[in-house]
Order: sequence, then structure tokens, then C-alpha cells
Amino acid sequence: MKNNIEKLDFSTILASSVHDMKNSLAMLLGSLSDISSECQARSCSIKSTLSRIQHEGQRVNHDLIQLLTLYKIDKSQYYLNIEEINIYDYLEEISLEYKYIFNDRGIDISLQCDETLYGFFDADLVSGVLKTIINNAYQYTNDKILISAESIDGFIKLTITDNGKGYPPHMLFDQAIHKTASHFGSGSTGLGLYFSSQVAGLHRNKKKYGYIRITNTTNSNVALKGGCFSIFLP
Amino acid sequence: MKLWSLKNKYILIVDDFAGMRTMLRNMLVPYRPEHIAEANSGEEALKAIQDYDFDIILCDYNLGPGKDGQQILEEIKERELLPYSSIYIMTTAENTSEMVMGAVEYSPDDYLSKPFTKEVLISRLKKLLKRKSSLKKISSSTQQRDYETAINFCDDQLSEAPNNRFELLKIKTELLLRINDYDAVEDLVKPIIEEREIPWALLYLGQAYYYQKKYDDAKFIFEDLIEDHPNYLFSHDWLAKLHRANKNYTEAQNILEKAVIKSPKAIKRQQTLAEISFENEDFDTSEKSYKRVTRAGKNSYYLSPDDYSGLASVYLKKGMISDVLETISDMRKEFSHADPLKSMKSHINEAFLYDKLQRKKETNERLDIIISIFLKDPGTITSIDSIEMAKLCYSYERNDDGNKFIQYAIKNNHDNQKAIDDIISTLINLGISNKDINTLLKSRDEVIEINNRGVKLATTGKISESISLFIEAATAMPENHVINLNTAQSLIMHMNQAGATEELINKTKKYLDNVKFTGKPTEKYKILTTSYKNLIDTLNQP
Repeated sequence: MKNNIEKLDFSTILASSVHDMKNSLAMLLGSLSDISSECQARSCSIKSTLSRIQHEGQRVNHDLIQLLTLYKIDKSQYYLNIEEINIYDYLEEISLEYKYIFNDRGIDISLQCDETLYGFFDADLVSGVLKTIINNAYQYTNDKILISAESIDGFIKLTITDNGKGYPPHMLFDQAIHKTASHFGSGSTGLGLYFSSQVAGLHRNKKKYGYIRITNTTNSNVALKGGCFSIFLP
Repeated sequence: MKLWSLKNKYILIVDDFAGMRTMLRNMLVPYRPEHIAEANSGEEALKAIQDYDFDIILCDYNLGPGKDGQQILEEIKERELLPYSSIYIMTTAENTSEMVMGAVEYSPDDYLSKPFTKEVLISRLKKLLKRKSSLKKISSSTQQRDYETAINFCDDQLSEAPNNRFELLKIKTELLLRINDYDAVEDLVKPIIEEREIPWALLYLGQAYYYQKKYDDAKFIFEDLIEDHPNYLFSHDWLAKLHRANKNYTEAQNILEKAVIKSPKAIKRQQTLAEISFENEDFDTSEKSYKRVTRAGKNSYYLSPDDYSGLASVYLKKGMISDVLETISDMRKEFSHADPLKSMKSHINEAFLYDKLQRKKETNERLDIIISIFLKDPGTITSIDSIEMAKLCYSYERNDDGNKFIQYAIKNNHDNQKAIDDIISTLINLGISNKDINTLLKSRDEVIEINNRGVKLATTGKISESISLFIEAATAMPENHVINLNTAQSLIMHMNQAGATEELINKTKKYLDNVKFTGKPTEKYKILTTSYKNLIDTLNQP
């Protein structure tokens, strides 16, 4: 007998699996958020454990998005959707998503940005990058995370700084060798940085391309002392 | 400081999953909206939307079988079911940017990617409500089709160094395109492009060039856009349109074939491909495209009986008679319970197809049905179709029926000399005698007489009589601008005296909507829509 089943291509399989998992996560996180508010009202002791679970749920979600996006970039199936974005509103929304969970863990997340600053980029992709970096900062920071933005030489620079012990020397070293920052080793931080540099490189205006930079801030006149990630978008 | 709330807001949540609807409801309730309605399918959503002017709609993209979130949005926009101030948010588990961006005509006000937190939802709603209210003057003039005033409002806001400068510039460019002011589009858009190569700015510049017949300039822009932004499919559409205008059907077809692969669900693009490949005599591609339209467009507002008769015409060309007959029967099944306009159109297409098959009996049967519907409800047929029907009737020696269709077309266009001239030359070509033509043209005087009588009744205080006279006339000639506007005017005069009611407001809206301008709206139309808006306001005051 002839096999009539049409073979699906892998990107369709991946996309629909991710889609399904994200739907489940939406329900999971929604219910968790309800339980969490209930918890707050009754001031019960598991509140901070719940925050940890919520955070892990968000991490899974971002990993899924990252996975699907990287796959599509690899297969040249991802096309940018460049929009004009008010950066203050945009970053405020991202920080709001974390504020409550982070506060429960005693981490303060703050925002430093001119309210009239505008940029042109793919909002979904870049927020994927920022969330990945924020999730990392959550692991390594002491008690503060700062999101900031400014306009420099025709680029919009979005920065996430924490007050932890900073990036390990080998990562900074790798960056110095690979100017485009495409090899940061494996592990969740390395993969996150790889994703970030891929996303940055997709952005282009006239002849300029986007890029990322990681540093450890040691300078005392910078607000926080720790790991510092920046994405430059043309 | 006053706390932000959703006070007085009507909200509709559309999701096929009850758990998700409840979750969204729980997120919104603390902000005390006036009302939250729920729908579990596109069909239910559209029903709810016809009953209420919702301020906010949260609609899931993937709703299972039936209409999806994009199809609901398209139907809302095409049928103008909601005021432009309403907010439509598409919630989706897909990554949003790849979904439909740059592929379809209408985008929602925002996408929310699941999962999202309450904080994010509320923060988006705050911003969207603020943005909509800042654009309120512009959008309400636009909805009244008063584009000049809308442009003036854009200029006012732009002069205040707003932080949504690009959005206002985009809206202004779209308005300039609507009033065909292409030089102004060029002047506005070129400095924007200097600053940054934004796809929409380039696309609109290309369109302006196209309409100025600077085809080489337009082609250059569209081709560049396709290269730099391959997923921004509007540039494919316009390049294809340009090639079509230059009669390069093969190139037009090639471009659209590439675009439909990226947007398999965008029905209008698929329809254009089907038409162009037919013109190109590539009947295989045309057949494939029409089939995709009828399959993927199953729940789409854009699906039309013309898609079926297009497919049937392909089969006719290929000499596949049994497939022609099968397509006719599919069309009948699909549209027998559709809205009156589409179901009439389906009968009309059937009549023409049977005529081409030289099946006299079936053609006459269809003509009987068409005539009986037409006599009951003339509004089901357009003037253009009615002239075609007249031709068919005359060739089947049904002169009385033919005359009825011609009289209908004349009445609809009694003050449009060009349309009347076209009808006369059609009649001459059909070999109708001068005497008979003159008899038919008398229906023009009938309209003038009815109109004068209605105006006189209204101005001598007999408004109710005037209203019923005009409504009867507007039913018999639903495309007639003069009659529709005077019907609306007599209703408005009545409400100005006796007060507005919801029923009268809806009636007035119907007659104003019947007036469709190809160019600028008349002064009278603007005055009437303004009075109409004012009356709605009186209705909404406690």
C-alpha cells in the first residue's frame, strides 16, 4: 500500500510543538500567578519558593523561543520585523514582567532611560535577548539589576548591568578573539550570548550592523559593579 | 491622583479555551470594566460585535475550526463593525512577528505573546488606550471619510514635537494617498527615507510613483524593498500590480507565486494570482490558486462566488465540463445560506456559466430565481451586474426582465451623466430602438419627481411622510447618492426635533453607509455625518 501521509518538515514540527508547550506554560504560569497572589494575601511561607518556580517557568518559555528562533535563523527562515519603538515603554514592560518575582527574591530591578528615546528594531527578537540576559543576571547578581538605554553614534545601546561577580575571564577573553562574539562556549550563559550576537547581527541600517559587548564594570562612577551586557542596534 | 481603571469599558474576550478566558477575565476584573463578554469562536465573536461597540477586544489567533483571529479582524475592518477607536489585541502562542507581519492588509493594534503576566497586559492596555485617545480626532475624521480634516489634525499634532512622530507621519502619508495627492506624499516621505529606510515609507513612495506613472522609479523601489525585506510582502503585491499595468503578466505572476508561498493564508493575494495566471493563460496555476482560495478561504470574508466561477472558467478553458458542473454545485452549496449579496452573486455567476455551456433550460431557471429575488430585494444586485443581467435577459428574449434591470441601473445613477451615457451606448449596441431607449430613460424623471416630492414634504413639516417616501425610494435604488443622503437628512431632521433613538440612529447609519464615494465626499455628506455624530452623542449622554 502506498503511504499517503505527507511528511512534515522539521521546522513545522518544531514550531507546532513549541506552540503547544507555550500554551501549557501560559496556563501553568497563569495559575501560579493566581496562587502567588493568594499566597501574598495569606502571607504564607512558601511565597519565595513559588517565585522561584515562576522564574523557572519563564526561563523555559524563553529557552523555547530562543530554540525556535535560532533554528529559523540557521535555516534562513527568520525575517526581521523592524518597528519604531519607544524604548522607555518597551523596557518598562520588560522590567514589569520580572519586578514582582525578583522583588520576592530580594532583587531590585530598575530602569534608566530617557522617555523620548526611539529605536528601530525587531521587538520580539530583542526582548528575547534582554530576557535571556536578565534571567542570567538573576542567577549571578547580588541584589541589583539595572536596565539602561542610550543613543550613541547612530546606535541604540541597551545595557543590562548587575552587581554580581561579573563574567568569567575566559568569556571576556573569547570576545577579544572573536570580534563578532559568536563563540562563548556552551552552557546557558554561552548559548544566551550566542543567541544575542546572532540577533544583533541580523539588524542593519544603511551600512551598519548590530553587535554585542560584555564587560565587567569596575569603574566606581558606574552605578553598579558587576557583569555588564550591551546590545548595539543600528 | 486618580487610580487608573477600565471604568465604562466594554471588553470582549475571544478564546476557544474556557480556562484561558477565565484567566484573562480575572486579570481584568480588578480594574472594574463596565462589562466583559466572552466568545469561544469567531462566529460567536462577530455576533457579539454586532450587538455591542466593544472598546477592547482580546482575541486569540488560533481558535480551532472556523474563523481565526486574523479573519475576524478582516471582517470587522471590511464591514466597519467597530469604531476606529476600538482596540483589537491578538493574543497568540506563536512568535508574533513571523505570523502575518507585512503579509496582510490589516494588523491588530497589538500582539500579546502567550504566556503574559497581568502586569504586561495592563501596561499594554494603558498605553493603547492613551495612544488611541491621542489619535481620536484623526481617526474619527478618517472614519467620516473627511480626509482633509484628518490631515490637518495630523499637522497640528506633528507641530507639537510628539513622541509618536513616525506613527503620525505614516498616518498622514496614508491619508495623502487616499486623496490622491502624490506630490505631497513624495515631499513628506523623502526626508523620512533620508533619515532611515523604513519599509512603509519606501512602499508609499513607490505607490506615489506608480500613480504618477513614473513606472521605472516605482519598479526600482519595489525591487529594492523585496531584496532588503523579503517578508514585507506588500512590495511583491505592488511590483506585480506594476507589471500587470505594463501587461507583463508573466513577471507579475512569478512575483506573486513567490509571495503566496510565504503567506498561504492571505486570500486576497491568492485571488490576484489566480486572476493574473488566468490572464496569462497559465490555466494550471490559475486552477491551483483558485482551489487554494476556496480551501484556505473557507471562513474568510474575502471568499466570493467569483472565486468559484473563476475556477469554473478555468475548467471551461480546459474543456473539463463535468468539473465546471461540479464547481457550480460547490458554489451553490457554499453560498446558499450566505448573506443576500453573496447568494445573489452566486445565482448570477451560475446563470452566466450555464449560458456559456449553452444550457438554455438551466440558464432560464437561474434567471427566474434572480428576477424573483431582485423584485423582492433590489439591493441584492449592483448596477454593474444588473446591466450584465439585462444583456443576458435580452439575448434570452426576456425583454421585460431586461428592461427592469436597465431601469434599476438608470435609477441608481440618475444624476451621473457618464453612467447614463454608458447605459445608452450599451443599449444601442444591443440594437434597442431609440423609442424604447427613450421610454427606459423616463425612469430618470421618476426619480427627480420622487426626490422633489420628498424634499417638499420635509420642508413643509411633514417629516414622517417624507421619511417613508425616501425609505421606499432608497430601497428601490440603494446606490443612488441623492436619495440616500436625503433619506438620512429627513431622519436627522426628525431626530433634531423629536430626539434621537437607537433605532433611528441605526437607520440613518444604513443610508449614510449606502453612499460610497470613489473620490472626495461631498459637502452635504460631511455635514450630515457631523450631525449624525452629534446625535449619537446626545444618545450617549445620561
